[in-house]
Amino acid sequence: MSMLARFRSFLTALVRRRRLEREMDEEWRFHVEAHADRLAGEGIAHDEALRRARREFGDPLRWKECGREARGLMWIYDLRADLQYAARQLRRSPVFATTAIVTLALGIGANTLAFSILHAVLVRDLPYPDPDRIVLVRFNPPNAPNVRAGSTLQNYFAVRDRSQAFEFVGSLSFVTASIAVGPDDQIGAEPVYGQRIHATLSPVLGVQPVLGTWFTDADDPATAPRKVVLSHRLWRQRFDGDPGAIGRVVRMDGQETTVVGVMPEGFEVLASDVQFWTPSRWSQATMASPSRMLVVAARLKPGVTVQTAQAEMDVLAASLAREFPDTNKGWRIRLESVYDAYTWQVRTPLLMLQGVVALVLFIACANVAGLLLAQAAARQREFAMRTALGSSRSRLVRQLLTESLVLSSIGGACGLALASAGMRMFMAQNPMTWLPRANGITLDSRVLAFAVVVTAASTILFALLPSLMVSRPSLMPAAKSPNICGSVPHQRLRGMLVSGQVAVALLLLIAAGLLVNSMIRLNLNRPDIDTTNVLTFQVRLPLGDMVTPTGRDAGGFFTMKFSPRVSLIFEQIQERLSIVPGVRSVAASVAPLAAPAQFRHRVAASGQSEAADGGTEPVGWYPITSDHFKTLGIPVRRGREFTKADSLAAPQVAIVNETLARRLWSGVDPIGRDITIDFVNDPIRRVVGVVADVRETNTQRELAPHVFVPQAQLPLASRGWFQSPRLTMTYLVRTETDPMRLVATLRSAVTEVYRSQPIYFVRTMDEMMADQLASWRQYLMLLGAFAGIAALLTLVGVYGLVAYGVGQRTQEIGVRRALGATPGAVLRLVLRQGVTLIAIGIGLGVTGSLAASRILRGLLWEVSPTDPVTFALVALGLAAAALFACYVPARRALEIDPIVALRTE
Amino acid sequence: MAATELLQGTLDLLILKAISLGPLHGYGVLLRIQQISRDKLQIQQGSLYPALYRLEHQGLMASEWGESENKRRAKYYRLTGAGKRRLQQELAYWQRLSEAIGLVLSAASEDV
Repeated sequence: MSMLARFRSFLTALVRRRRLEREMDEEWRFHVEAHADRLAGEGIAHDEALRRARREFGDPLRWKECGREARGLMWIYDLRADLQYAARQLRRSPVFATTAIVTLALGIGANTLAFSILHAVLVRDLPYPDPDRIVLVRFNPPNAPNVRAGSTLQNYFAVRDRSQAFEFVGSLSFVTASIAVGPDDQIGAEPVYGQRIHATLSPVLGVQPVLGTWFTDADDPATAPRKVVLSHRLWRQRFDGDPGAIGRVVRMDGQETTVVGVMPEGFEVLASDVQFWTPSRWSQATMASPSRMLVVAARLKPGVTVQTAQAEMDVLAASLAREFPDTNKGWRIRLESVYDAYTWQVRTPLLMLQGVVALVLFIACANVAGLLLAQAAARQREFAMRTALGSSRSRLVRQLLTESLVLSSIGGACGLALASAGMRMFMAQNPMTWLPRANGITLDSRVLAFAVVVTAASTILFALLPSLMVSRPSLMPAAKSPNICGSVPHQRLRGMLVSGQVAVALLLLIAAGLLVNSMIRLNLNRPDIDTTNVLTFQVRLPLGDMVTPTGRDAGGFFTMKFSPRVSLIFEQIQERLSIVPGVRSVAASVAPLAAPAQFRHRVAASGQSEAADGGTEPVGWYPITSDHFKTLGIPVRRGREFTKADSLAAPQVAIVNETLARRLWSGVDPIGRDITIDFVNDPIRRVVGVVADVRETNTQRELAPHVFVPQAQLPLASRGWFQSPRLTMTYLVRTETDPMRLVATLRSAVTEVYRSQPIYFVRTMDEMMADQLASWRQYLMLLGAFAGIAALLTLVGVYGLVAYGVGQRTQEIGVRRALGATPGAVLRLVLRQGVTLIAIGIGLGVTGSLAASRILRGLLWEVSPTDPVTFALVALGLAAAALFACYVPARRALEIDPIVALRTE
Repeated sequence: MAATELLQGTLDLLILKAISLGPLHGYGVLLRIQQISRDKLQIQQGSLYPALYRLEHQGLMASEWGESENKRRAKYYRLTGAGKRRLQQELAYWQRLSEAIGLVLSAASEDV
């Protein structure tokens, strides 16, 4: 009786099923013939002997079944029979089958899609070895423990040199550059996002390039030859995956740079759209810069806990505050795991989404369960017959479960197809700008496994209860008439299911409705500048002929002199653009307003101490040209705009916005007062104008201080690394009509002024604003889609319930009509159950939404989570739709001919 | 004696014993048991093959196709090593059991 022998026999039986069947047949025939021979030997006629032998032997089927059972094969035959029967059943009722399959496909598909996003972003391993040993060193401003600010270079070196808890410390900052691969690749090369890293970041991450090498310390100084490491995607796109890319020289922002490495596929550092890495190439001057552009990452030493490291950082923060009070007073250091850094912003919304699709699945399963109940009630007779013929209850349940499994398998397969399509649509929206690790959203093995699990779970959910209920009929009444038995408890159960569905659908719709409300308010929240028909694009002048290095200064910093042609060219471009037909006015600024400020410097009012509010924190700094505020429609509150007269030789001036004026002089007229800006070699400037505030983003609540200087008045002598703001200009062109039509003309106008200079980031200001809301929009798309599916499924469920009820009560309705009931009375009768259920569902849904509203609070903008308008609109909308879904089948009740109804048995 | 109801285990034992005397096909097992028991035991035809298959599935018997006495194809069963061992075990058990039951059944009133 060994297990091995049994298993071997089972396998053989499985594989050689048909042969064994034939052998059993042969055995049986031999046996019967042998017995017949024997009987014949006793003198009985041959035919008679054969007949008697067969009779004595009995039905071979019974012991063949025993034979199969002995070999453990019975369940396979049963399964096959069940599957064939299930297929037949489904073909017989195609409406039921299609409805069930589509419902399941929607539910399973939605869950798979949501899980694929969740998996790619939250569950998947980070692409570094031992990622839980990597931490980000964040700096919190005073009194703002949740703000994650970057690090100055000073602080970075302090952390690197003075910490004991870290094995490696590195830093990175985000940059953009245009990469021109071949000589003909120059015009219109769109800038890509990259990171400038300090070489010591590489051992922190612990990932080696798949081609070539990473940087070394020798590449860090400003004099080192320029090198770049590419992302896998960029390598595939621009170099066609050519391994000979290593050593090729490309032009980044016009500078010759050698490609030295390619990173593995899927490698990313904190942002999905970073495509290249370059060494930091800092010069000495940057050490004292107060700009917090660095993100500092560190790898803990083996055996050191995060708490120990955090304690050490707290001590370091205190000493930094003492040593460099102007940049560090009141600031704290907080260590954040790299996983948290990736996911903190999106964790809650994604988990919420997963909860939403789980609810959608419940609704779908409730629908299918209702369908099964309705169908099973019709099959009572069949089951009663089978029980009478000797089928066990478990056999019936097994049959029903098999049918359900077939349904859910087909539904699951369709759901996968739906999820895959949904994934493609979602990725086409380019979610990589706001969703970290989004480039991993695919249908991989884990997601498939999840889909299988969800399919199995939903089978159990919708099939178990109906199967059990249905297989427990009392035989007599069912066999006699199909209408009486089982319908009442079935209907009640279905009714409860429908109420639940309405409640859940309402919950989801209210959530979506609140988000839509927020979106509308955000969109209506007009930016403070007039963005109609404004086109923006960037012009970058190449470093080469615009800057002359002039050696080093006393402090050992590299110094340089900018050519006065720089501002001249920018002015010429502006003039040339303004005479293009169709252009109303042109403005230029180093960085556009109504977007987060890219450059910040400290500003101090002359005569006031450094400790004054506006004097310590860097404020948004904008070198602009003349007509800037006029073009953008920003009111000048006092004084004037810059003009062409504000040249380098003229008195040095500045313009402040109202918030900065308030901060520096609180209420006193700032015109005529002097300020200093902490910019290299910047002179004392006189304030000549005050302009209205412009919020940096749509959702920004506090107003930020801004200072404006004429681009032409930027000092020519400079030092350090702040070169890009000097050589970049963003043009804002207001046109009479659709600005996109003028792009080609504007582009050639620019190249007329300065030879073949491409323009970058061409888009309308409206597009730019819309991009800021991209994450909201895409999330809302998903949530709205799922809530819509839930509502649709619920309406189908309501319809099905009432339609079924009408079908069941055809006879009764006929009788009532014959007895003189008015159509209204019949309608009331049929609708009563439906309306009650809908009312209960709405009530439950509203209560649930009120209770659960707190979860949404973080995601809403200026909309209360219990906003009565949204609640009322959504509830009424769903109620109306549900009532309509009741009404349609109810109307058919009116069309029942009483005579036909009475005759129906 | 008419065909009596046999317990499943007993039928297995009889079959094993019958086959231990030489390989047999199914009908042959039936005949041999009848023959050896001097017509006192008649196996129900319906319960024979299930038992044969069960024993084969458990690895106590092996089967192969061969030629019967009247030149027809028949499936012959023979004991495997495990089957022989099992037969010995069951025989020993049967001996002990019948002894014990015999003792009980032959108890006279004085022995109590």
